[in-house]
Amino acid sequence: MKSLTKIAAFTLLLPLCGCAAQTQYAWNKYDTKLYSHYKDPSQKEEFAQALKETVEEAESSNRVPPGIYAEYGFLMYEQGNSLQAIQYYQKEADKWPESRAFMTKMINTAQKRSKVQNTNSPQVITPESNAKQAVAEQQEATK
Amino acid sequence: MKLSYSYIILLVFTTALSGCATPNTNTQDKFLSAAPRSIVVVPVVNKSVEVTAADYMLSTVSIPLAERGFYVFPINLVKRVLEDDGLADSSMVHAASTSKLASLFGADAVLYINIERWDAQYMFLTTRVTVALTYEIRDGKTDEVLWQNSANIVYQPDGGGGGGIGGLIAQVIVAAITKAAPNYMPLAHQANAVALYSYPGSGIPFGPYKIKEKPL
Repeated sequence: MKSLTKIAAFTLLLPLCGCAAQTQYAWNKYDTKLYSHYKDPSQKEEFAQALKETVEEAESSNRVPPGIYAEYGFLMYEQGNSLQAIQYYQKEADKWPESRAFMTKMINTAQKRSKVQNTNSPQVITPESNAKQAVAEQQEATK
Repeated sequence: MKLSYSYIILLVFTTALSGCATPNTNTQDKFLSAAPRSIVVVPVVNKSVEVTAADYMLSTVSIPLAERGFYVFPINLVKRVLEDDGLADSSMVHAASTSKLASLFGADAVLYINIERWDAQYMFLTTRVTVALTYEIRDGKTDEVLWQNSANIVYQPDGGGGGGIGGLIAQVIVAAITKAAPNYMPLAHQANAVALYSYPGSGIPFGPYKIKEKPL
């Protein structure tokens, strides 16, 4: 009889720990961060900083969620940092094959802009050849 | 002894199964045979008067979807790309061809969320929010509906504070804060859980990235 109670308790507990376990990825409040950004879109840099923290913490525990690299890359793009944008788009593409077609498009857009930036403003330190090289190196590294 | 042991194991197994993902072949057949790996979530159509509701749903849905095992496209980036393509209006996006949308991102499937109702009733000590949402996943190649579900919830933020006059005061304060600046994050989480993970069997099946539970 006693063992029966034990079994009953066990069967009750098991589905609970199966469903409400720790998350597979380290999100670090991605949803709250995203919502805050929509609530106050002017706080772009805060959002970028918050996402950077998510990226770094997720990398340290090796539980990077899908979409996070690309999301951060796009914020870099919006801040005018095409080179970093390309790096993060490439990271997304390397980690998630499902994202490759989309990331290729985003990388092309960022590369085009970095070309325009270079012809318009000679003081930009990072020439587009560097951007291309960075991508090529990334691709080499993943082979 | 041996027999009873295997019986227990069987019992445990079936309980665990029914708790998380009861197979409901009628509604999940199409989804299982299409077996999408990646899902793009498009902006939410909001038919309610609560203006923040769409942002709540859009920002919360990618986590439960990805935890279910799918590649979920970056929510904010997708939203901005659609805007750049002249698809800023969510009802316009929902009316557009699924396969065209999917091809923009190379997605296997598209998730559409509709907010039918999101009504907050303010009472003396509490707020009661009634929500009705529909979720639909369509095939990125054939435009076919692969899965659909709804979430109907009556949500009441926890008053807290315990009993007595102190508890009452705490409840009044909570009610006032809720009214002034409601936090619908828990409600959004609950709605997603009901629609995507719901028991019995109307949630979505697991995706390819779902890590099987490790033995304790």
